[in-house]
Amino acid sequence: MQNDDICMDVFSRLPIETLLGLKRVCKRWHGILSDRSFVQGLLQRPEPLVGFFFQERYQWAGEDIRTISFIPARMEVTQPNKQTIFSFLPEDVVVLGSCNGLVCCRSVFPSPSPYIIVCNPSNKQWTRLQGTRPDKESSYGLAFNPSQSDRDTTNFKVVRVSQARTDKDDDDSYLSFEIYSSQAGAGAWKKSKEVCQCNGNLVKNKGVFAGGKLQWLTDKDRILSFDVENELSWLISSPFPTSHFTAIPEMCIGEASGGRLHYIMISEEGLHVWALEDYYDSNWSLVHTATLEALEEENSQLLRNTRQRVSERVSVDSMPWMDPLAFKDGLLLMRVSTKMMLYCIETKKMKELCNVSELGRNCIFGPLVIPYSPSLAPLMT
Amino acid sequence: MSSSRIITLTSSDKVDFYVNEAVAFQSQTIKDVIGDGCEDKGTLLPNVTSEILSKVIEYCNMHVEAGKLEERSGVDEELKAWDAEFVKVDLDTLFDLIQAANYLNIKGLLDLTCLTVADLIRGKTPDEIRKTFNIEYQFTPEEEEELRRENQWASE
Repeated sequence: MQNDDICMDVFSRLPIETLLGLKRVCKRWHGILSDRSFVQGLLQRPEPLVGFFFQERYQWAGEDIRTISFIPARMEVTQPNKQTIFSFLPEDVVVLGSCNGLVCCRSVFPSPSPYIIVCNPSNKQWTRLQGTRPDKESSYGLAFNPSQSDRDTTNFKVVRVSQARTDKDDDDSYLSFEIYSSQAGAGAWKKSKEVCQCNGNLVKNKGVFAGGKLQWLTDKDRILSFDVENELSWLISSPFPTSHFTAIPEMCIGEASGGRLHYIMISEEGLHVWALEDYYDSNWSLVHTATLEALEEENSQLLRNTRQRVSERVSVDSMPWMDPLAFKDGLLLMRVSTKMMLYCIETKKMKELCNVSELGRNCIFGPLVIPYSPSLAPLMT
Repeated sequence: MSSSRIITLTSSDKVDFYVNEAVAFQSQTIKDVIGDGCEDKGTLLPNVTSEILSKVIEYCNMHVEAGKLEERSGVDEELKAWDAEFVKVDLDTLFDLIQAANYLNIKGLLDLTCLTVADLIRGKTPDEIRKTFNIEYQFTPEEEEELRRENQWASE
């Protein structure tokens, strides 16, 4: 029969999703899969995207919507969403971001005692971050680089971005940063000396961790980037000016190809994807392009009158017909009318995953959509 | 062309195999042990039976031959197809091959055999896996239920 070394070698070639199920096979396999050193080894390899967390938001109301759905990212089979992913946590939460298997979230509002929680849905471990109370206006980003952790501790950072006005001048605002470091222990939140002169607002406000930096999309053709280790902020110019178009395009950012930031834009001229080549020069390379007509031809069952519908959106207040929500490793989750679609940029194939009505009644306005790749990184409570 | 010497490998059941140096050196272990140019006095492999050793040599032979071909087009696909046929063996033989590949340090064979086992695991329910690998059912129904709930969302 197999010895443990062979088991570990074979297991190391399987995705985390499969490994989680293998714990049920027998006690020996359970033991091997729980071994700290083995888990640590797994953390060093890149894990494929398994799906997206989806949480609705009210457009106007102050309170949060508690339900979180999980949309599996599979091109072959359409699967229903599961809503009990975070039931292991002590309270209902709003997901803020995810990085290498860890998820950062905050207590739902209203709450007498809100917290930021970092958790791992794959092993159901979680930890509450002590210190600053979370608020609804700030943006958060989770930075977790597995190679910086060791066998027994998982080291991560959470960055909070807050907007402030410079004096009474209404037009000028700047961004300030606070950093929580899991290694720092008590008094773990630290205000960074770094500020960023940025007049835009952060939109689709989940931080994307790519190339050691946390990135957020803004509404002014710029991407806010924050180098977590060196505490330096930078504004990357987006690859293409949105003012060029007649209709208002929709964008999102995501990570792919081992740490490269990608920018996705859907406009009347089609679907375009760029990858960031040079950080400081805002140098992008176009890695994928498809006209709306081409998309329609390739996916005629799912798309109709695409150009007309996209071109109709001329005011920011009207909802986009086609909205890119999240992107990771070549897979784009987007909403097209009332359907959630998964688009693979390599094959140019689109797959209908579900109807938005399956996700709730408030899906159209700015939902939180966060890509998730599992890991077994441990977290102490 | 330098003359290629013949290496003698002896299996655990005392059967001698005569292989080309290039073929034998597919095994990093043998390469390290025998070294360059010294007279070969035969190498005993106490952990590998003749049945398995002959299969391992078959693999090494094929991969050395494929490596020599000048014309590369189509070779990779053919080699892949040959590999796929090569691993169509019973599970015990497969595990013996993994152990031999591990002991002899033949990366290609180790990758091939481990991936084959991984493919046997992928997509199966725990019950099916136990059946495939002849693993005894050890958990009580309560334990099984607890484990199932623990990982409910990821595996279906």
